[in-house]
Amino acid sequence: MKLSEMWKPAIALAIIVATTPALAHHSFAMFDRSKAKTVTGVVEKFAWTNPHVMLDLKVQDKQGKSMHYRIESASINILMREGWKVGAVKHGDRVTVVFNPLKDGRPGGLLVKLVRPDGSQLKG
Amino acid sequence: MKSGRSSSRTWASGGLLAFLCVFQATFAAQAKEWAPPPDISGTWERYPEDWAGPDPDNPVPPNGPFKLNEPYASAFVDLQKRKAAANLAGTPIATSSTRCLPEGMPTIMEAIYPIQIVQTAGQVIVLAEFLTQTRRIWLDDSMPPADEISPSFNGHSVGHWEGDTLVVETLGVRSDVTYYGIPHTAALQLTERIRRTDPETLEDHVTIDDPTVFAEPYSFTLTYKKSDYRISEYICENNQVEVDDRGGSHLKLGRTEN
Repeated sequence: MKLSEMWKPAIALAIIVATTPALAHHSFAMFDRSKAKTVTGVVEKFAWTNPHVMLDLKVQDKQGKSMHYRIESASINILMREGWKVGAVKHGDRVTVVFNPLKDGRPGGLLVKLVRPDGSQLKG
Repeated sequence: MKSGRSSSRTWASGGLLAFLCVFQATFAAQAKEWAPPPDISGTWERYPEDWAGPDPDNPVPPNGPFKLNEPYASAFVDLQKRKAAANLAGTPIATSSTRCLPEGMPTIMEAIYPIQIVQTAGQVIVLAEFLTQTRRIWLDDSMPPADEISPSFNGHSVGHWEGDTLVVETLGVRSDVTYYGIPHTAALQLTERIRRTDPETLEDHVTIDDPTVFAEPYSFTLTYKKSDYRISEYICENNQVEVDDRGGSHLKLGRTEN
């Protein structure tokens, strides 16, 4: 089973159970909260910063073409309450992310869920 | 007829009693004066957790719709329309928070993230996790004249205890601070009545009074629960969102292709 297929039920569940991200410093209306996309790639940058933790991901398609995604998450305090630890994601990690895409179609979004190299999951 | 001695003894004992009463009353008054103020210190989180309603882009006003005078009423309706259109387009109108600026009073007390209250002899200090803010309430101090108050996000606050309640007056909130997008005039006066309703619960009854803008004072009660959460540093690095010339916000991307 392909990873993308494996994720389908998880995505559906993620959409259903995706709670409103805790109040944040800016509106989440730039993201389409009714959609969830999944990509797997290599972490180029993981910024453990406020107001939002940010993840840059290099994703390669079958033709070998690379795309760079910027995935925004909640603030540090919220993520730590969700069980994130400092250094939960490292440069060079291969991770899969489920995210609400940007409405404008650019390669970015709001993190719903992240799967780390060891298979453990973190809520966005 | 009773003897004079008996009468004087009666007077003497009466005088002693009176003295004791006065002494006791004075002591009681002093004891009352020395009594520590009610304790509202600690870390507090808003309650219930879903206080903002289901949609963070449309937070629910804390006590029903606002009753505003013109032209503020029309401007507020127009703002809601512009907000809805911008949200639909995915370019939400930037707020002070988008720009990493404080929300100001009274929004700081809505405590998007936990607040800690510290009490000293002369101040009650509100430490907000959001933007690592400090709000000082000066106790038993008079409100300075308007031209001696530098406008600030959280204004100048003076407070005093009325029994179990800390009564706080705030003036001098910056003119660019809005409340749910509603502006205010220099006459804005905020009154708070803060008290503990039980060992685990704190409430802040807030009244916004600005007769030019609000048709009647707008009051609401914010409720908090005691928390053992440890507030951390929260410096907002405005490195993630770009605001365009029209005030719309966009996620700043790095490079997108090879």
